[in-house]
Amino acid sequence: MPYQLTLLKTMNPGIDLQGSFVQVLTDLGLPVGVAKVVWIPLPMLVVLVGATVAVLVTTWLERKISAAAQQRIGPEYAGPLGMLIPVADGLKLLFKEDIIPMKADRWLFTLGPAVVVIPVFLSFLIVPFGHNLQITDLGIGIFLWIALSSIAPIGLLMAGYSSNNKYSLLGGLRAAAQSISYEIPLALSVLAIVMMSNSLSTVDIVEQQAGFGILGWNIWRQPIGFLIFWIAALAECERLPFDLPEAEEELVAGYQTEYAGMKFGLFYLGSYVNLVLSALLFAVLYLGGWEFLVPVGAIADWIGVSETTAWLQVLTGALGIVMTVFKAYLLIFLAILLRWTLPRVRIDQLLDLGWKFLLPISLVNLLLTAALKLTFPVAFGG
Amino acid sequence: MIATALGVVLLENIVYSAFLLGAVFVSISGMYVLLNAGFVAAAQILIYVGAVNVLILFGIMLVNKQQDFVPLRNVWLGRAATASVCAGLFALLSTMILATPWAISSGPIAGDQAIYVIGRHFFTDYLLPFELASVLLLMALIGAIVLARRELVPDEQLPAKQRPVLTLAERPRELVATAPGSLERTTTTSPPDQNA
Amino acid sequence: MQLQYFLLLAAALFCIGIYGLVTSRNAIRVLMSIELLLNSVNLNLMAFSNYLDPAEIKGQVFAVFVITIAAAEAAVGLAIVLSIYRNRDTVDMEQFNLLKW
Repeated sequence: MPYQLTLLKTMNPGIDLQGSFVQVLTDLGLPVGVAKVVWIPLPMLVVLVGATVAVLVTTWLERKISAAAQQRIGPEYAGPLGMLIPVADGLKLLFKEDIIPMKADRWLFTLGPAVVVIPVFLSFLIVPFGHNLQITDLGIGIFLWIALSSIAPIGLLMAGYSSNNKYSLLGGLRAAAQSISYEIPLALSVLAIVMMSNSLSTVDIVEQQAGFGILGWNIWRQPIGFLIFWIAALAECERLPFDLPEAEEELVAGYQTEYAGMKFGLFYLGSYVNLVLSALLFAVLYLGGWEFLVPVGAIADWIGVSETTAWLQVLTGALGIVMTVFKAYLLIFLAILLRWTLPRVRIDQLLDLGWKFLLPISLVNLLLTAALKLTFPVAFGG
Repeated sequence: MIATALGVVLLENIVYSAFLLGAVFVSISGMYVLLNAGFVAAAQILIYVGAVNVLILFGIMLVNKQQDFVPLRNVWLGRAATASVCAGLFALLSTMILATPWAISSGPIAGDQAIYVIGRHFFTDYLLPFELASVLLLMALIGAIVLARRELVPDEQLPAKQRPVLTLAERPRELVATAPGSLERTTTTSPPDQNA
Repeated sequence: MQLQYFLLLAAALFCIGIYGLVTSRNAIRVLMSIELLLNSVNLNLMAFSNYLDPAEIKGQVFAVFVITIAAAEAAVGLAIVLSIYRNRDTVDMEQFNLLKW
């Protein structure tokens, strides 16, 4: 019963970071209200910094993995193993001249990248790294990500229209069409997961996969669903094989043609942050989030330590973060490998794939999940 | 929000109006969050900003003629009359709002449980509107496609007999052999008439 | 007093929508004003549901229906505007006067 799930949430054995932080500050003499206000921006800052570092790491990874796939070495002179390359990239973009074309619409040109990138950063609100290790546990969890990711086409249209360039306009229209076409299969595959977990909250989704180690992950219960989600997520991130709007050989560079300097940097950053976010959410939805391969409770019982010991909680929390990041890394690796392996899809093939293939299949997946949920409530979420 | 709404109706540039409409939708979604309705707020963003606003923008891109409308005479008269009527209507509504004793209930709010309550309503008391809404969406889908598609008029194909192509038949002649021992044709013939 | 603020805001949005509906010459701006009207009605419904009916949030259910209908109507309206544009090559509302006497 869903009303009892809310009771369950209050009894979780996770680390209470907020409580400990407020406790430390009140012990130092600050009033409780001020301590809570000081706590509020901290998780957001941590996640923002974490996301940016993740993007830098992902750009480095992209170069190294694509080099390995093409049997070369990639960056190796800028810092050890080429690790300073993303920093060099960022510095280059920061110092480039910020050009606005003469007849372009100033306000829309500047706002375009912002509207594309801000919802992606906002969606990090719901990504959980552990029981209490997320910015906030919203009741509408994963639905917020789907809603925010649908704001991106507005930014793409803004960028394409305001560049006063027919290639940009066409590229922007195509990018927006691609984005809205793949929202629906994405939402329907997430809906199947939500139907199994009886809750939109990401923490509940991970909890529902807990307890059986690797066998409890949603990827086994949704064999079609995770493929649909993966394809739709790649299309939303505009990664190959769906990177028609921004590829160099198509329409010059699509809606990013006239952008230079930091505005292009925002698009570049936003595209990688979107990839990291999609990988993290795939890990949360289908690969069990922060769960280790064997349930931690079983390990704790096996070595005879109770679950609420302080050092075990810290260890579990750290393990959760490491597992989430590791699973996301596997998916990013797969995405980068796909980029250098598959050919690009044409725009009409792309839209056909989205509307005529993925949409019916995701509806069938939803129907199957509902049927299985009714017949086997113990395995598919009662 | 009021500023963005005024921008939608008052700005000359329709593209600015369309983007400001998106801002209105986002502000209203924020109001819904203030009203303890997280699910409807997210649904508002998903449907209005993500679909309706994108649709309006696509429509603007397709019909955006860079041509000013023919200015009318005395257009300020119509605008002033409308503005006064709207101001009067607002005054009427606000007096009604401020004067009525609303029966504000202090029961428990359905905050995070809203989606369960909505779902229950959809399948018990509001089942008929739910089914009708699905039929209406189907009608809108088909109707919009039928109204907006281009009528495909196939090009008229001339019957094959009426395509006279004048060809000049080549005289048969001897080919010069180019390499010793290579098998060459010794005569050429004119290509067969393709329009026979 | 909180409820009255939301209702006043919705009334203001409604009046702005009516002004846009009557005075705009661009057919698409008319459609945008209709969306404003529907949003103001939604805001009213949600305010009432939160303050007068917080347990059985019937206002939110109705608001979801209104959102759905508004989306469908925007689609059909834009299809109509598109076909008019193809036939008359303009979206000026003053030119759509074939039915005027």
